[in-house]
Amino acid sequence: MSKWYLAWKNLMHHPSRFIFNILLIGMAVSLLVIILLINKQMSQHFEKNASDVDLILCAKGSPLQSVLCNIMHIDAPTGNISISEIKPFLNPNHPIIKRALPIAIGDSYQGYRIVGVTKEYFDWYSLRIERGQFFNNDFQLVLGSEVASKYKLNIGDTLQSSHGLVGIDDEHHHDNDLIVHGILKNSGGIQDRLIFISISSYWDLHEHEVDHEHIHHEQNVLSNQELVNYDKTITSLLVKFKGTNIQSLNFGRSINENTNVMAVNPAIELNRLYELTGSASELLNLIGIILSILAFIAIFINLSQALNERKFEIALIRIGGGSRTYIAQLLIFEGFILSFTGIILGLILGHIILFFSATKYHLADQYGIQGHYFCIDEIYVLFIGLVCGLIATILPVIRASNQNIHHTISKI
Amino acid sequence: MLSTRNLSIRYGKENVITFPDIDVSQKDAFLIHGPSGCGKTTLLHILAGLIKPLTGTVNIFNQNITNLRSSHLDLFRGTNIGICLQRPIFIQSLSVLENLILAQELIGHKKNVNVIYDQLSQLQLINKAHQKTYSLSQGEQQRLMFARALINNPKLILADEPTSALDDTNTNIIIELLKNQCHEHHAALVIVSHDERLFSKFQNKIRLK
Repeated sequence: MSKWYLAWKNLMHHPSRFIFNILLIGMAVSLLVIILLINKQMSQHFEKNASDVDLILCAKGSPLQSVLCNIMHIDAPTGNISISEIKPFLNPNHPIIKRALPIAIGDSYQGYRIVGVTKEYFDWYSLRIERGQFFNNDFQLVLGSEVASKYKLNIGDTLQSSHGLVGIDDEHHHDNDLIVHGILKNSGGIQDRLIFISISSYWDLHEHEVDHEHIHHEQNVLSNQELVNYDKTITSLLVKFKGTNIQSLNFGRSINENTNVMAVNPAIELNRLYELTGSASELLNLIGIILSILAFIAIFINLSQALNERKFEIALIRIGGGSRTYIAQLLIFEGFILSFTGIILGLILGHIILFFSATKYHLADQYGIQGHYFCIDEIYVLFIGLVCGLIATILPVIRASNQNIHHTISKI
Repeated sequence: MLSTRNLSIRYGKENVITFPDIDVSQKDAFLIHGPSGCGKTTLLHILAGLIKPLTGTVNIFNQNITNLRSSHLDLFRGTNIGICLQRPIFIQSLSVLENLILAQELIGHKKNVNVIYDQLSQLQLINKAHQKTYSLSQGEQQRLMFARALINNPKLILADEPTSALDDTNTNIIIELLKNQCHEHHAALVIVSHDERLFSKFQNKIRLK
């Protein structure tokens, strides 16, 4: 009979006490894990999506809103900018701009954003087609993989867009049927949850609303250079520099000072966001740590009480030939089983809670938070938890292995 | 095989109790008799190596156990001495069988279930093997305690007040059972008791005051 078996039997002798203890540890650990996973995934999500963009050019307004709108696709646009204002930046021979991506935002389908882009967008984010093709005509759609699978949309299906982003503007349907022309491969990024359309289609949709007169452009899907010839508006222009130098650093400032366009550096804005949310998550973390400490104090008290009840059994093992080391190992094993099951329960619980709340509160759509995401830090949680569990067992173990058997069994 | 010399122990701050020398040979049954509070149980614990005496030596099979270090003493006790406590104590979470397996394994032996079943059937406990110990009756628990004390074939059985809670009939049964079992296992038996009924049943005995 191994000590593990005896330790397990002893724990199972009081199943309700065992369950209470592992639930206590489990709750505390799950809170820590949830905070950890949210922080980790949110910053990864933001950094991953912001890393491709050095500067956003858009209508003047809140810079953070602009980042959330144009990169994260969470918030509403700050307004529109006219192409004439950004014309020079679309020039492929611009001295410091490597790439520029015009974007039009404002419509949606069932809560998923329809984003007007040029074909350069797919290149920029390395998006590949899974089925069908990229659009080559007006009113043709390219769907992100999640949109396609959620609404079971296939090539050739039609749908109608709503004016406005759900929850932000009133819904109002456009008349034109949009045809699904291509479906993207899963990229794991925001793009899985977006619907793409050409910028010219965007204009068509909206100008129909205004004067019901189709405005013709020579080509159906416009490239960056062709856009320059139209005096229309877009939501923003995403910019990537050729390299980081003084000119590119001053570029944004000079735009902000000299034009009606706002230049936003996503990295700076995200840092500001972290500072805003950082203290909140630190507070939650603190609560998690306090809960964990309480959980391990409870283990300590529980073990100590259990030892009082079991002092005769401990004396019995010593009388039967078991050494102090045997007693110490037995109790450490009991503490280990308790902490280990509790922590594992907490890890599982954390993932399950996050999984369901991610679905319920659309955390995945907006912040890239998912329940089935695992990170290496969870192993640290396990190890630190086991060490805390060990510390909680040390005192009871010392007391038990130094127990005076003569005194104990004289009181039988 | 058991002999003590000049044993004494400090009691409280100033009092010192001295014990008469004891000599018990193999297969002997020996009674240490005395009123409550005379130090019987303390003497038994000294014999078992559970406390160190103030002076004197305890020799069991020519091994002076007062010189043994803690872990050696634990092993020596487990291997050579079977102890029957005043009240039956078992590991609550284990079954009757598992309690006896643990007793075998604590001294480093491999478990031997045949020996255990043999012992259990001698003590009419065979059909209780898979029950939890607390579901046994008082008498069954006491017999199980003997079974555990005997399971590793110790050279010496120490029993503390085995009859204090029993009527005359059961006292006779238990004492005969203990004597017989020790005889079969070639073990010496030392009983401490204040029970007057036992005094006539032992030839080798001392009376403590």
